[in-house]
Amino acid sequence: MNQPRKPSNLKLGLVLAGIAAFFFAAVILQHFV
Amino acid sequence: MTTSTLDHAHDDHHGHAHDHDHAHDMPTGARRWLFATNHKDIGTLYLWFAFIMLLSGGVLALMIRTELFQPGLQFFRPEFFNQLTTMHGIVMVFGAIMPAFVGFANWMIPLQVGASDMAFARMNNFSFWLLPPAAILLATSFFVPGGATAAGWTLYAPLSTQMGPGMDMAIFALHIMGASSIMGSINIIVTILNMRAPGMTLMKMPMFCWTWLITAFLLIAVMPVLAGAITMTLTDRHFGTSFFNAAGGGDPVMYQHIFWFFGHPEVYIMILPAFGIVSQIIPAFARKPLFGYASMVYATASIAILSFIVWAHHMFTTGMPVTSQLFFMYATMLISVPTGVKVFNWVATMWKGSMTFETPMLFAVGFIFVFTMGGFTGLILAVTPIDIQVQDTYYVVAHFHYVLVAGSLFALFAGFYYWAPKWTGHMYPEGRGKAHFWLSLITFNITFFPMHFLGLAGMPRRYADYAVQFTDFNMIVSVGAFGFGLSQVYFLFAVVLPTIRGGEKALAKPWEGAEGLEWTVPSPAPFHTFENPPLVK
Repeated sequence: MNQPRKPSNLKLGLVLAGIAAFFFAAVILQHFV
Repeated sequence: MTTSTLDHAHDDHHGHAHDHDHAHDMPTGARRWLFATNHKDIGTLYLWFAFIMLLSGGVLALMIRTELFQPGLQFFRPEFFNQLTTMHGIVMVFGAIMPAFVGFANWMIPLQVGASDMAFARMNNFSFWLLPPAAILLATSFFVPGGATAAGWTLYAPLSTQMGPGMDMAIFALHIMGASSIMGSINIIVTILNMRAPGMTLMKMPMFCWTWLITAFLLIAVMPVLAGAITMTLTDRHFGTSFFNAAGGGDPVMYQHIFWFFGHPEVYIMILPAFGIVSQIIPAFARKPLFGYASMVYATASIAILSFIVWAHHMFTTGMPVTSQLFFMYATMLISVPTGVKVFNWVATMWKGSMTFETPMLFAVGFIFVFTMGGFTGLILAVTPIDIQVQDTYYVVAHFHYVLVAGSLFALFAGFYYWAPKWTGHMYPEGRGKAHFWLSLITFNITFFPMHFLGLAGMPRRYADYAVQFTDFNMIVSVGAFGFGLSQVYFLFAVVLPTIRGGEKALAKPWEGAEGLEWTVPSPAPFHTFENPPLVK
């Protein structure tokens, strides 16, 4: 335990969540363009 | 227990109000499951949830088959029959198959890549505990005015914009299960990309991890699309928008495009992890390394990419330009190339291997045989003029049950028999496992093979009644369906429960030809594994 891990788990997780949010927004917003 | 300093930082301000300190011990009782952050416990929760949903969806299926045993209306009103078919689909897809694979991922991915747990252990808990409320929403929707949603699992507009509150409950349930899936996928991707043991390069990873990594990317791309589609349905229903309402300037066919942009990758979300499980089992029981490992990885990625450009093959009869028909037809056919690579590689792995046929291998070989039949009917359905003839007939129902039951479900069974010794510490009863396989294989084919004939003869799906000339085949199908259902009850009481309660002690590596880090830890796998990462070669 407490082994050194790459500290970027949170960053990668947020990037992936951002991708998901982008797709969600895009599929709705494309109706308004 | 958790692996990153980040998670420990969360401990400080997130601690429970109780004076109970369970930081590094195995918690007991309800707390163990309610507050579970251990990937093995959460995997177990997922698997039990999926199994309960499988049986629930199975009951719905058997109600469908009861009504269809004879022509005419015997048991259910047509409105209720439509609720049964719709809820059967939603429960099986989102409640049974997908959570079952996430359960396998939770259990096996950290063990296979040499990580001590999933990357976001608390989010993992949240991902799971979102599911029971969604299941309750779905189950209780039968009892609201108008009953459960009856628009088909695809929730097509305009049906979905017109139904009662059961539709809203299904939409919320899908939102919740979608959020759960997205969080689960983020967890899986971060675990695989960031937390592999030293030396475990991507191209050394077991195929199950590879297929799940690619599946998780598919999920992150398309679950939000489904969420967007049903959100728009919701605003059409309650907030005066007209996204899919033609009277207000909207387009119901647009719903179909958006849905199938999600729906076709969803099909591969349900089959790619199955490919991964089979790709682990065949080499173990052929006692040979997987033939063409790299090509397996590339084929999986190809299938995933192609899945984004074939969606309109579900919509050939909605009307589209002939160039679009040709594009979607050829793009769909193209998928058979990487799929063929996979089937070839599995067969080549078995070629001249020292094969034995324990239950996992039986299910894996059964998978190849029956799944490939489903793949071939898929190829037939890809041909636009044929599809226009048989769309919305039982031919399509036969096709996707060959892929989803004999494909996904058989692979899940194969994976259960393969890894149950690691999970429970006991060997399952081999004779009963084999009986479960043969019962399932035979009753599956009795159930679904005649549906091809029914479909070609023109019997439409989603109707509570049918013309009398379809009676004989429908009777056979219904008898087979009850046999298949009973086989799964046998699986629960004769295999699963006895294996959990006792039985022959399993070795750390019960399968002679098995490879991978999961077999280096004892059976059953201890609560904490790989707290110090193993060194891979």
